[in-house]
Amino acid sequence: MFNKQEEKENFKDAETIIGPSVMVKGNFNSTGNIVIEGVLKGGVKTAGNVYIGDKANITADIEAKSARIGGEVRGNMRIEGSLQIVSSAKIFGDIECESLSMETGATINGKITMGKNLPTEKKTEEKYTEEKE
Amino acid sequence: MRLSFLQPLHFMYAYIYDSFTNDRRYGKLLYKTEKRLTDLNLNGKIIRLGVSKNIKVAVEDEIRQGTRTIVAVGNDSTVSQVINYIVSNQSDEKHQVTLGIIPIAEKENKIAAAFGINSIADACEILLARRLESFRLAQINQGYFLFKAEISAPDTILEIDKNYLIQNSKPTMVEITNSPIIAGEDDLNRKLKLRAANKDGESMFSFKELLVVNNNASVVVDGSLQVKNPARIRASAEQIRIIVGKQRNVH
Repeated sequence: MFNKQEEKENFKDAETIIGPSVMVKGNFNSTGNIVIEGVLKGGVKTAGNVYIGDKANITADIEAKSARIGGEVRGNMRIEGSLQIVSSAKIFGDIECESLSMETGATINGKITMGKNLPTEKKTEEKYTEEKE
Repeated sequence: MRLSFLQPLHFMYAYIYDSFTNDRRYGKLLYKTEKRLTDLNLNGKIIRLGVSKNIKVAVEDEIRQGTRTIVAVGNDSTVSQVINYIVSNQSDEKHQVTLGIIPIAEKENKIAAAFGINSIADACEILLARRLESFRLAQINQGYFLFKAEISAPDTILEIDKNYLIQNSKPTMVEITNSPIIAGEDDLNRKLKLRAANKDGESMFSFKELLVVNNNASVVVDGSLQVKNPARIRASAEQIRIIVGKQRNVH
């Protein structure tokens, strides 16, 4: 459904590329576009776009302007704009985004919240109180 | 004070000959070079390195004596070392020392070539034209480099900006580039670039500070000097002023 070549073209000027045999551990904050083809454990936050390759393995919460997900993601996603999920994607976590497109074959195990006015991010303390109640 | 302006130009130059140039095969070449420099009225003090004098002492002595232009006569290693000792010893911007380069030997002169200095004849003309440009340096531990630092070994651990670790399971060539190196207004916020490549593909990151750890390999800077790790690499506020050719190939 999605043209892979076209998708990657949008990330030609990516500030950060995590290659296939690379593992990144920690909190990843950036302002530019990020391409992830390898393994990432921690957190990703960028004002730009995120491209997650089909063989990538992510254990992290992701915050970005827009995202394309192809690999396995374990963590919550908060995407300001559009989220594109391709057939190879496996997502274990909640999703918040403005718009969503998804290919047949992709799996999502989590809650999806969509719309223009996403709820503001809850502080950890609030989340903790809610969970306790 | 005014007297200093009346001094002949050649008093301003100190030529540091690397020890390998003491080899007999360079004798004729150096004689021709010195003759050409004299013809151009660029002759100055010649310091030949050897057992009794090393680059560190030579550069420190010249800076202390007020020499304003130090010319590295040798290869990439000579230039890298002279840059390090100039930057570590020059006191402030007003008393900035200028670096000139005369490349000896055909190979291992990539730094000179990047500045448009491709031969000894070029070098003499370029010194005469005295086209000056300031370049930003990158810092590695207590030293500095101009263009890049490299390490090629498996299991290199890279820590970026104290935020995250990068690990590679396969042998990977890690290259850190100091680019753009021409001094500009945004010097304080600039970041260095890291490229890690192996047969599976490449990774790219930008950073302000990087820690390189590998127990089995050293970091090689500007293709000539080895630095033991752990090595901390960051963009430096230090600059070096270099006499460059018109055809320089640095950005």
